[in-house]
Amino acid sequence: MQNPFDDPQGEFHVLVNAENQHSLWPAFAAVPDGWTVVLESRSREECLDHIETSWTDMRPFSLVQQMSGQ
Amino acid sequence: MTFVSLFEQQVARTPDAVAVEFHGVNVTYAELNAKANKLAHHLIDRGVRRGALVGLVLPRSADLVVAALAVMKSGGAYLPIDPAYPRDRVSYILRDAQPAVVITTAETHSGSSGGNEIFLDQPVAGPGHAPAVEPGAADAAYVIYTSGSTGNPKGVVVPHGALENFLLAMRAEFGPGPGDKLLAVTTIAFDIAGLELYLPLITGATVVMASSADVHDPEALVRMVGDFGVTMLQATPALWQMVLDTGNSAVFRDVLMLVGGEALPPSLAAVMRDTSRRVANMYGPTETTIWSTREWVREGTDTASIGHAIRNTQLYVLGDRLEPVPDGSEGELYIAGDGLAQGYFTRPGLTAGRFVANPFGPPGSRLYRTGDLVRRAAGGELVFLGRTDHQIKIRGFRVELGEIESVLADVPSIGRAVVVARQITERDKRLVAYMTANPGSELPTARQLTRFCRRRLPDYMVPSAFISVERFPMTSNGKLDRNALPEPLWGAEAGGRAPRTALEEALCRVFAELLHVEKVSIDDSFFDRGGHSVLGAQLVGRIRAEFGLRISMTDLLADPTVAGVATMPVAADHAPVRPDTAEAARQRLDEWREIHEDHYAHPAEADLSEDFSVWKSSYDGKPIPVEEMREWRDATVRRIRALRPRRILEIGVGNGLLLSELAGEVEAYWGTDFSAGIIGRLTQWVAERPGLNGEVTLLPRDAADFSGIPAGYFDVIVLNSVVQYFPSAAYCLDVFDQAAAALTDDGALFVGDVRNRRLLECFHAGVAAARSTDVDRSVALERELLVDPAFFTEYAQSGRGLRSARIQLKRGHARNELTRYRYDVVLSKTPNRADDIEVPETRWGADFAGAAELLRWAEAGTVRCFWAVGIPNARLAPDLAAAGSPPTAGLEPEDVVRAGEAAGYRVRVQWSQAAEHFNAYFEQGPLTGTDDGPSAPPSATHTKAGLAEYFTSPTADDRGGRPAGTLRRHLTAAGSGPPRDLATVDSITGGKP
Repeated sequence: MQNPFDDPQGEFHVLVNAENQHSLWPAFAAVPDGWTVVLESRSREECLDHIETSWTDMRPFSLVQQMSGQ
Repeated sequence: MTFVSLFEQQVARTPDAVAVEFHGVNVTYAELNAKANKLAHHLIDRGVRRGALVGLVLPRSADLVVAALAVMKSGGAYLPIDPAYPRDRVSYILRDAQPAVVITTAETHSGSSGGNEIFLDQPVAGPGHAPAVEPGAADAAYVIYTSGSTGNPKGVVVPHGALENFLLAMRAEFGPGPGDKLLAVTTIAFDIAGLELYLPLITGATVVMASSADVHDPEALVRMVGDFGVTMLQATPALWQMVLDTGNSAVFRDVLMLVGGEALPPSLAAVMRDTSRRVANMYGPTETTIWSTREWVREGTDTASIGHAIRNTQLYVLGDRLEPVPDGSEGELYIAGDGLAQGYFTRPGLTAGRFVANPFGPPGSRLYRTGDLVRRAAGGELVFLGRTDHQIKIRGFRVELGEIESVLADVPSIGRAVVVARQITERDKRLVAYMTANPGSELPTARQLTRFCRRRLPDYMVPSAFISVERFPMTSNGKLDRNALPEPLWGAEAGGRAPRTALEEALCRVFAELLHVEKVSIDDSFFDRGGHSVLGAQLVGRIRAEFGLRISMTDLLADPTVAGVATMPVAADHAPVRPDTAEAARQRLDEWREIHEDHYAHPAEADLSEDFSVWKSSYDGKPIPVEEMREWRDATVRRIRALRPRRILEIGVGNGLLLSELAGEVEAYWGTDFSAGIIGRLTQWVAERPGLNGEVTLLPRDAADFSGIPAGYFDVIVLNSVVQYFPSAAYCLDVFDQAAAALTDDGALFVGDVRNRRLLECFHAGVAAARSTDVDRSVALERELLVDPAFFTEYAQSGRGLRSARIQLKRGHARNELTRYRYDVVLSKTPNRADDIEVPETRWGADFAGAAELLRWAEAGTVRCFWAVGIPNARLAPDLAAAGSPPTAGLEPEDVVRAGEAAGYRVRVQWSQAAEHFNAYFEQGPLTGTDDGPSAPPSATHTKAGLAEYFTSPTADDRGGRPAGTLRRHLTAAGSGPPRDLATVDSITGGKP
């Protein structure tokens, strides 16, 4: 069984939630609540490249805010 | 709430309770807290802030707990690194994670952390109060590196909220509390150590920390469980197997066992269940914090079942369209809930592909996809089916085969490397590397590759074999066909020296057998030839049992060659052995069998059960009078009956002397005998007696062969007049241990007609005098196994399955070698409650000097029970005289018993410390079964170093070089026939074994 997230030929979105956590997401599946599509229908490679460059602080956003407020 | 605040609350509740116990050093909750606070302040002074990483490269000790706590108290996250990891791996992790500080010791520091170290073995200054930092649920608690498929390990970042949720879940599941002790055995580099170190600390229980030497030595762990009174132990199946293989399972009776990390073999599950208080099978990836599911292992539980989710955790079984699959169908397991890690340290792409949007939970929540295939069973529990990828488990450790492959790909001459895990036996899984060479290059040798891998990978990831292939087999659609890779020829390369001694030769055989190779040299390292820690533990066990060498796992690791092992000292508690003891034992049994069968092939009486003709007197070679034999049999039957048997197993049923008396009174009578011929004839005999048919089951079996014999079923097992034909002490212990397993919880083993080792010389002297013949010296060697009565008392205290021993002299007025030199023992699974009672003693010579006086003493006193000790045994007088001892007037034990009984006592007689004397226990009231008074008078002492020293060593006597079969030839020549006669045709000249 090929996992849909591992399919090298698959079409994917990049999703982001309120904590600035990123998720790869197969384009065939409905986007779950609480997630926003930030990159739509690209190859797996393109999506991963995007994530690598845009998700630089991997701490949850609430923690980042809390700590900068200290 | 975080783990830190839960711990601090516990400190306030139980400041003086012991939090950590390590090699005799106890650290209380208050002390642990103060130490951790001090170090936390020091860390802050060194620049550690919220969110900073702090490496831990520390030996296993109480300070490891101090350091982990201190890091969390300072607001940082700890990064545990096993100091046993190869230097390259340690430096990689330190380079990748860039910890602000590394806490280490002079002994373990790696030298690669660039001067930002804190040495824990140097004094640390700082105040004892908690620092003013409070990490929140989202702050990282620790970062643990696990195997990564792309060639390098990856760090999993676990937040405080996940750790706290896990610990609260475990507290709810297992409810440890003050008084509980958890033995911590897992390296802190493996996340499950978090349960062992932290669960006790939020519940008032104690962490008993095993040292790094202990965790590699299953026997040491077993000792710790017993010595420290451990109540809870978590380990991987591989470690459990090693620990339970030691055979000392009694210490686990009250232990809660946790097992996880890889699939639980059904055979191991059964042993664990039978041994412990309770067994929980745990499942969970590091990414969802330690364990995510729990299953109780019960009778009939599918051992692949991983059970149900722990608190605040959701499990989804999804298909390849991310849709939930119907119950019972295979799917991939996705986990959601409070246990989810933040992700992989500085690996956004990897994180976004494994921690993904959750369509089933609260908006914006995430799922972790495990890569594990499962199905949901009818009861809602999940059943583990396998992996979707090439991640495997080796001894509980998670291994990405791709990581090993990419390490090998760094070797310039290797074109491509593929690593597979091969299951050699249920308990032996090994990694095999297959490689192609680059054009024009030559591959390094296996030894070189092993060394190369050892520098880069933890030992459990180093392949056991390296195979060069021309090209890789492909499937029809062009993928690598892993199944078509050739099976390695284990042991194809045997270099090194050949064995020089018989011991080395025998050791080489055992090495080769365990390694599944044809041959090993005495210089081959066990671990270079495919051995790993689980096999190593098996090897240590076999060397101890078969050769009596005193060797531990640590010794084996220090010198894992036959040449090295052969120099280990012989254990003091082992009977003298030769390398081929097992063979000698087999020969001995075969000889007995042949003699035994010969005799019974021509019975003297039509009715087997009345045939006493085998029993000949050693003194004159004539049959022992039939009335004496009947007295002997009736006394034995009475003793067994007193145990109130319902289901009897008789080992060595012979011609059915006891069976014929007892089988009609019980629900079930099972009999075994090592002679198939005898079993055949006895089956015929039983068949002719319709009253017995339903109850009797007869099986041809060696005494040590319990196959087909139900466990926990019999309330009485009888071994009457059989032990003397056992080839060795080890064999006897093995039979006893197995008998214990076949008994019900309150069952008893009746060992009848044991020959007293302590009176061996006296006996020989008497026989030599009576026969006044010149007995052939070579026949004079004792070929039977004689046992010192003190053995049984020691055995009952040794923590095996049988916990009390009651020894009795034979009853009867007859003066023959049976009443003089043999005794009966009842070994019970329940401790003897009477041993807790203080019983007064009266001493021969000091307090009384005759039967009448003894009874007067008893009647005059107000005591309900008492011991009369040190009475000279009148039965032995003639033989003692023959041995040259001065004559002493003594008492006849049977007279003492009868006189006592006439006066309203029940009386039990047993050997004194000096074997030519006896002790009698008197108690008012009727005789009842096993509950007949204390085991021995308080004055009795035992002195032997090990159990085997209480036995003679029949096989060791062969050292004189007597060829196999000599025994039988001599017997035939002497015309003495049956085995019961055998011990008797001799004189003292053979010497004491």
